[in-house]
Amino acid sequence: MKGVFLEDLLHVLRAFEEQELEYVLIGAAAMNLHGILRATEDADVFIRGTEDNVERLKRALRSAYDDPSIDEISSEDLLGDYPSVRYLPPDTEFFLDILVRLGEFARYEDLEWREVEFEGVRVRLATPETLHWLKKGTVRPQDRVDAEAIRWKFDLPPTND
Amino acid sequence: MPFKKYRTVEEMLPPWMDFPPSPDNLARRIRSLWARSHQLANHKLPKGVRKYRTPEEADFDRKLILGQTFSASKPGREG
Repeated sequence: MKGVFLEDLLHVLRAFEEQELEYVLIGAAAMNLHGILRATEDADVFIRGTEDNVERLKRALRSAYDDPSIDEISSEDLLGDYPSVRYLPPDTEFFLDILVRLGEFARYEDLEWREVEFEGVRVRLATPETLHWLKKGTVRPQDRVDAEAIRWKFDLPPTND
Repeated sequence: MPFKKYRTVEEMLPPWMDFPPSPDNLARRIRSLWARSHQLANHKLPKGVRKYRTPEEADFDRKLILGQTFSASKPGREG
């Protein structure tokens, strides 16, 4: 499994904060910030699906990385047929999964989050309840394991499925 | 099979489970775990932008780029 350096994550989250991107950190990176430690190869973020917010995303990524491929991210794709974009920056083995919607299951507006300060960066972090809901509803077996760890740690009610 | 005895439930938990939460140590512990997992990785990721229509496409491509599966065709599209 590819690993991520915490500095990679903080670098991009700081750029999101500076550009006032409307995003929510989800996935394993968010679990770690909630105190459930596990290795991960990426960071997953939901962003609000508007043209203006996609432009903020691109500005944030351009400020974080000198990479012309960022121009390939478009609101036409993200708001249309390609609601999921993976960005693999140069000079790092970290990558970002950027979602406007997760199939027909979830979109930014469905998520609960709160702002926390972590290592000097203000992070828009999904609540445990939202993380659990997303994890138990997605396609990977690892997500089921994660959902159970979240449920156990935060004393959430058992799922019926 | 040998027995191991614990005085509290907390003692039974695996070391990666941060309980009770200790915010002061969290960044240090994440930094340490992620740096260690990074050292164990032995392949290079592609670079750039990749786009997906469905979560299934994204998940399949994740396995491809992380070397967890092999396929002649690639889902989604680059750039």
